[in-house]
Amino acid sequence: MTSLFEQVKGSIVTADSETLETLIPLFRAKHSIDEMFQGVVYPALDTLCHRLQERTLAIPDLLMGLKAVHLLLEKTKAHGFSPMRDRCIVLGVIEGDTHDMGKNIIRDLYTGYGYRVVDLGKNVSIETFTERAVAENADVVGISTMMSTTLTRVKEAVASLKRARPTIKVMTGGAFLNAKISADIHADGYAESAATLMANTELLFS
Amino acid sequence: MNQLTSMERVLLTLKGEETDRVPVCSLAVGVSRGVTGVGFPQFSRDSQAAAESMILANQIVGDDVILCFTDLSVEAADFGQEMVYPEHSTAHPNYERALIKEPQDYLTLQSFSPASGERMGAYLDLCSILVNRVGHHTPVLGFVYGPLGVLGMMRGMEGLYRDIVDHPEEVKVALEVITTVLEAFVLEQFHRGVAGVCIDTLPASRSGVSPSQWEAFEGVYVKRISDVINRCGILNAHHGCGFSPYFKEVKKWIDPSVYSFADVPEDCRNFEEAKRRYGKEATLMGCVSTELLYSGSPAEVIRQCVEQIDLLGRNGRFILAPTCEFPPNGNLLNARAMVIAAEMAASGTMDTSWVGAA
Repeated sequence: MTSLFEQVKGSIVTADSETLETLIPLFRAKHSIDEMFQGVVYPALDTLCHRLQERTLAIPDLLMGLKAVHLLLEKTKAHGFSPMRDRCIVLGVIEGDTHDMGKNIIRDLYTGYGYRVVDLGKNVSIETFTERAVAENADVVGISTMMSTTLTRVKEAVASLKRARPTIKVMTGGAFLNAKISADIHADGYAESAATLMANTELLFS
Repeated sequence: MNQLTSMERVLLTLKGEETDRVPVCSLAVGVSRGVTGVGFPQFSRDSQAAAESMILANQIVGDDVILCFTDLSVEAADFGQEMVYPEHSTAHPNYERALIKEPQDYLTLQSFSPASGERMGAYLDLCSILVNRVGHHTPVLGFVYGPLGVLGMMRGMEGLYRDIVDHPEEVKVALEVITTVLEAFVLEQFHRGVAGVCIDTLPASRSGVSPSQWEAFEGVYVKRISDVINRCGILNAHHGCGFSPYFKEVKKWIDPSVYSFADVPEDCRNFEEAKRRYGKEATLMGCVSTELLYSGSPAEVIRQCVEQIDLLGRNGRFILAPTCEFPPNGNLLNARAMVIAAEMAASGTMDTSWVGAA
């Protein structure tokens, strides 16, 4: 018989929100929030990312899976729960760019994996990135852009963040960027895809 | 060095015949505004200004195809989506005021005549100017954004991708209306004399939806658009700059004569296999990295172009081009470097070992 852990995880991976809603009270009656993250959310996100990398899952399916994770965290009030990882990520799309789907996927993945996430939204100024990163004592700032016309601003944002706090880690992501450009603008890391996000993030601290 | 006109070079390439050199399509569109000093907003909306920019840029660069394109907001703007026209970047939707805010809004889209639309009408004027001025010696390629892309500009791609799963029927109602308008749009482009039309289907890749989702939500619709192009007897081209493009599905529904692409196709292991599988009957167009065109030196661009010509240009049927639009804030000298690379490859002066040696 499939365990409750497997059933909840399965309903997330298949984005079956109806089943998920039925299972949540049953699960919470028996298990703690910590067990939920360790036994359900992390494995479900790992599966989604693995399937994305293996090309057996597409972006719409990933979005629906992340929506299911969001539903689980909302229903269990786990959004307010102290994160598993004592790290803060500040995210945003740089000023001049409004493509935020990639950034939102990254936000939902970080949230699901238990990071404290501060989402600054899109079209975010360099000043806002810097002020909020310092105010939130961020460990990592993720700057996203899909355009070449905004690359100069990304570079300036990296420099501004490093001036404000030299130890802060800055990660970039977006269609136009790659590892070389990220290195050229002195970012600490590059998030190539959702599938490799966690590995790329851990590299920042290795 | 150049013995053929651009028109002759491109036509021979499409027929798989020998040419004096590989044709080049620099896709230097937005960046061309720099040669006349116009800003992005004027470039997007002023046909005469855009045409002067594109023609002069083509003369400076010396490439062989002019893509008649300003930005991706043209079609959605005329459906009523509010656009933002920044001075230093390309036009984009104001997603704070998305035309489609909820699934029921998909049912409200209305069909219209493209020539009556402010942006599409201006685009058609641009086609006319380009064709009349340079179309006799340089192919002018029309452009249409695929129905899913257009719909994404009105809903936001994230919302649209969720709706494909949660509200597929409503999405299809909107796609039906959009496709009807786009069919008329490519017909109007034909009437302006373009040599072909390029259909952009970004979602037909791992950057978009799954292959089966693409077939159901775009393939079936773009087939109707490509049918119009084929009935007109002009070039049926395809562009997709996503990761791992779905050539197999694109061939099934569009069967383009030209594939403009950025990455190894989903069903191929590498570019060599892509050439073997798709480059015999169709012409491949690519794949110079836009990142390199933005940040690299002309010497580095030449080296990569020569590698691309060696890799994809064997046995003809190849047009050297960037993986996507030439970076709008890039250095036009790197577009010129692409043409120089094509000339070097043809003349046998392909030794690029000196690149970076200093």
